This record gives sequence, C-alpha cells and structure tokens, in this order.
Amino acid sequence: MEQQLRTYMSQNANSFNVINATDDRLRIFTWISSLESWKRHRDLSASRLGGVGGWVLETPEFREWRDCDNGEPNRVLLCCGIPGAGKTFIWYGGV
Amino acid sequence: MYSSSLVTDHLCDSKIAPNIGVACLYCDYSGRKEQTPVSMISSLLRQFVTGMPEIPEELTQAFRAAKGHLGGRALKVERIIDIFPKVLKYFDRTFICIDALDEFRVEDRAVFLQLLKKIINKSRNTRLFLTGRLHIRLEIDRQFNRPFTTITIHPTHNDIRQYLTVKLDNDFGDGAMDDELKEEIITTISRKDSEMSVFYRFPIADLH
Repeated sequence: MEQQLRTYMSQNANSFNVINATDDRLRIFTWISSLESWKRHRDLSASRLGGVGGWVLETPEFREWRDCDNGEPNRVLLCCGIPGAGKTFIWYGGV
Repeated sequence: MYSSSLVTDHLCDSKIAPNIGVACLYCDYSGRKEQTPVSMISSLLRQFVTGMPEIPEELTQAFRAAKGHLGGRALKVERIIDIFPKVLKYFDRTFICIDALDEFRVEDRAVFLQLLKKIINKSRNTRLFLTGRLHIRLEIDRQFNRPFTTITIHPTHNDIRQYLTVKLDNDFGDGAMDDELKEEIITTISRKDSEMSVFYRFPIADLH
C-alpha cells in the first residue's frame, strides 16, 4: 500500500514537473520572440499545389547549395522573380 | 512565397545530415510594424532553439536575469548574435529561409542583411535561402560582399498546366465548363506563358 502510494506520489510529482518544465520552455520561447512565423509557413504549405515549382529543387544550383561540403561553397542562394512574369499568381497559389 | 514554402518543406524532410535545423521567415508589407531586423533575427533564434531537446543554459540564465527587469527585458541584439552560432552548432546543418526580402522595410533592410551576414559568417554549417524581386540582388551583393548563387524563378509550362488544371477542376461555376473548354483554356494559356501578366489582371473566374 505504502509502495503504491509512493509510486502514485512520485508519478504525480513527475507529471507536475513536466508541466512546469514545458511551461518554462514556452515562456522562454515567447521571451526570445513572439513572432510566430511558422504559422504562415503552415498555411502556405497546406495551400501549395503538389508538384508546381518543384523544378527549383532539381536545379544544379540548388543541389550544390544544399549539399556541398567541400571548400567554401556559395552558402547563400537567392531565388529571384521577374515582376509581371506571373510570379504573384502562381506563387500565391490563388487569386 | 510559393518557392520558399516549397524549399522549406523540402529541407525539413531531407536526409542530407542526421540533425538538420530549418528556420523560415516571410517578409510581408502588411506585417511591417512587427517585422524589424531584431524581431526577425529573434524569431529565427526561437525556431532553432525550439528544435533543441534542451534550451541552452546561457539562454535560460539570460531569461531568469531579464525576468526581474521591466516585466522581462528583451534580449539585446548583440547577445542574440553572440548566442546564435552556439545554437546553430548543435545541428549538423542549418538552413535559414527568408521569403520576399523586397517586402521588408527598405530603411531597415541593410541592418537586417548585416545581421544575417554576421550569423552565416560565424557558422560554416549554415545556408541561407532568400527570395525576392530582381533588384534585391544588388542590395545583397552590396551588404554581403561575398559570392552567392542566383536562380531566376519563372513558372514553367508544366507549372502553369498543373495550376490551371487544379483551379478548373475546383471550378463550381454555373456548369458552363466542360472537359473540352477546360482543355482549350489550359492549352491556350499555358502556351502563352510568356504573357503571364494576363493572370495578374484577370482572376480565373473571369476567364469563362
């Protein structure tokens, strides 16, 4: 009985600590930054049309930027769109 | 925006290294008030720290120290830049993706780029992916003063076909659309992909 009680106490104490630890983590995250950029990403990611624009990932420039470990590769990759080329329509995924 | 979300997802799913960290930001005209160089860099830091099993002790201590002042003083930019490489070091490879740089406040863009430059200069395992209109290239060149690769984004014939197919399949108009008309629209428009500005002017609903 005593053993059971001890186990119960210990389990509850642990879960309480876990909640506290999680709360602390969240508080620190929010203190670092309150911008929630990933929400925007989540929305865009969900509305994207499968396959469209995938050619970018297959370009040698992209692959080299992503994979290259030797020497000092160009660690900065810029994707430019020409105004009026339909970038807005296609990229935004809808009108 | 489209390519950024595509690239970000691709990097998150990739297996090029055992422990990959990815953080993304979407610059936006409408969010200019809250999108300052420091808030953006802080957001990147938060995203990487979120991917760590434990918050670095240095940050926990700084949080505790800040708590007692003015309801929790924010991290100073010098401190952020100092902590950043230590956080990035936890990962084997890190990627920072920033979309629509041209929509970031022009008067703050140089500061933002300088902060990004400091971060990547201190972390060899970090790659930076940027998107923006063509003119942004000159600014990056001026601020980074290092070689970088450029890809020009243009919708391919196939992109346009796929896009139109999905849009027309989801068209619940008055029933005037049939398979023949759909094919005619797709073929005609995707053939004229060099005249894409037509899309910008006419929403798809106006095309039939």
